[in-house]
Amino acid sequence: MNDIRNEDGIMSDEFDVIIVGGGPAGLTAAIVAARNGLNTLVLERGEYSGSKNVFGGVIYTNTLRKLFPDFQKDAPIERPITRRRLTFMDEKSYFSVDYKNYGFRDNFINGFSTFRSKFDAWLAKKAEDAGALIATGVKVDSLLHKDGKVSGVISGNDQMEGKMVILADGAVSLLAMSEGMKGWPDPNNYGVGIKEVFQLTEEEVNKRFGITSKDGIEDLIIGYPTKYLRGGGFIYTFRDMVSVGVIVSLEALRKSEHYAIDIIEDFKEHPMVQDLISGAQIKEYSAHAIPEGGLRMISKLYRDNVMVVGDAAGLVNSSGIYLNGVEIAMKSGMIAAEVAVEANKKKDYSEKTLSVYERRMNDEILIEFRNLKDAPYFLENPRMYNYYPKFVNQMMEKMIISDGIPKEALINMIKGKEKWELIEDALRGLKAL
Amino acid sequence: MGIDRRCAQGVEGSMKMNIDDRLALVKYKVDNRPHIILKDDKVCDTCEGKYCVHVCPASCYRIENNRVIFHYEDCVECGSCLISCDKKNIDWNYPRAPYGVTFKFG
Ligand SMILES: Cc1cc2nc3c(=O)[nH]c(=O)nc-3n(C[C@H](O)[C@H](O)[C@H](O)COP(=O)(O)OP(=O)(O)OC[C@H]3O[C@@H](n4cnc5c(N)ncnc54)[C@H](O)[C@@H]3O)c2cc1C
Ligand code: SF4
Ligand code: SF4
Repeated sequence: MNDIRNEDGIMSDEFDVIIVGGGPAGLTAAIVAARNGLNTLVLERGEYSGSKNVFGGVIYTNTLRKLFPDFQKDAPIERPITRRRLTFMDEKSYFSVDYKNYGFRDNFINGFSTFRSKFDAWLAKKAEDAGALIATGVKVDSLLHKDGKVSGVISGNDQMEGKMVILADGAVSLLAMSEGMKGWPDPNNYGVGIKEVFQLTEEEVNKRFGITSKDGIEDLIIGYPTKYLRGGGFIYTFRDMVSVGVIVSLEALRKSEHYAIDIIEDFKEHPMVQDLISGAQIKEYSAHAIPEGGLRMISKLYRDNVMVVGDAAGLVNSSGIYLNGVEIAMKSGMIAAEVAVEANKKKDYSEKTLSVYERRMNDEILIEFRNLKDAPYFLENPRMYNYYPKFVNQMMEKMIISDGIPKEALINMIKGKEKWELIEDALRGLKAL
Repeated sequence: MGIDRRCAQGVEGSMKMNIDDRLALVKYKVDNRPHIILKDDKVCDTCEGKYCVHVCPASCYRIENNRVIFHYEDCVECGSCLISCDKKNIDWNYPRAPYGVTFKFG
């Protein structure tokens, strides 16, 4: 294994691949590259991998399973997610679609909850075991160029040379921007996610959520949590903790009369959330930007000697009601590393060779985004956030209070124009799902 | 307390917390020089949206005497202000290592 510096403080020889960012995308790339014998360096600005990272709570397991078929043995799993809810919420009521699969208890197909400080650190250890060199507390300031091509990275006064560089530096990829692989960020394509975690006991979590220790729940909540702005609230269960958070479109938030700091506090006060967390001690407050533009915002994925993976490439499959960033980040990291391994065999790191990365991404990942092509319409449709949550709840209330009133009277609650919109949205929604 | 502190107040019987109490739960190693700088105060003075104040989850942008004042110390490095300021008036960077935020859970 290489050491970053020899006794004289001089960099050791050139790396086959330098990976900027030790999150799920970068670490997965490192594991695959190192396993295939590449001389691999990961640079992470945090004190340890995960220390700067924030997410809601669940990791899907396809790529993880490919990397580590028996990941259950030592991955920092809090709970398997066996129950998924989609909730429409207004100030005083909510309406949920609740799905539970007892099979998910053992196979983790629906993912598991964890914390990033633990998961990313675990993945970093695995990358080290595979032979990658991980340097934490190193912030890459810019890329090194030779003959107009990327040839390594610069951090402070240090330069590190690499045949290839993989940018895995997350949602705000300053490096992809400065390389011109990504434009100036558009607030339409990002949300801000804010999360609080609460301490309970394992028994209390089970009791309050009506689950056993073999179960975990994901609840995505639309309407009230974001002040009816585009986005959603989320609640996840951990072994003896609960996370409560919101993700709000930056475009919607910045132009609203609301403030990020208030939104989550008001959501927490909703009686449904209070039933789950009252009396629990808050342990952490955190926030992070999240790319959510889907296909539209995907950046240039490769150039001579360089590839962009994970959030840095805008790859979160977040349709607002379904968050899957980590799994896609890992998958893109895996594909990029496989392409790097091939390039290394051929000793050809040109754009042409690396273009296989984009082709494989198209075939293996972006196809999922394309299938969601109608989802943006559905999810960018403000009615989804500011109308239906209230509408569904009012319908339920009327139906219950007004027994005896004929159904037509209820239908007539919906005004003429809205009726057509409702039908159109329902059709598009069905297509998107 | 000006209009800038629109944060929820700690109220008896409520779990709402003001932002300073929430940020007190976060571990920071504060650098002695800021990692984010407002490029031109005059641009902020004439900015109608003041989007940074709306989107910052750490209340780093506060309005004091009708001016946007930026404090870098509580920044959780989320990137929202950079993305939201369409005047591109924010010179944004991550703190140099080993400074900035460290999350215990995340
Ligand atoms: C509130 C919220 C909730 C979410 N919930 C979920 C969820 O439940 N499930 C899910 O799958 N996804 C979720 N996501 C999305 C998910 O967090 C991301 O998609 C995922 O983290 C992307 O991984 P990544 O490796 O690409 O980037 P990151 O995890 O952001 O990692 C990037 C790494 O690069 C480092 N870095 C950045 N710049 C530099 C530099 N210049 N030099 C050195 N290091 C650098 C950072 O410190 C970081 O460790 C959520 C996101 C948010 C914000
Ligand atoms: S949005 Fe930009 S220009 Fe406007 S006040 Fe904030 S930093 Fe200044
Ligand atoms: S990066 Fe995030 S926390 Fe830091 S100042 Fe900008 S909006 Fe606030």
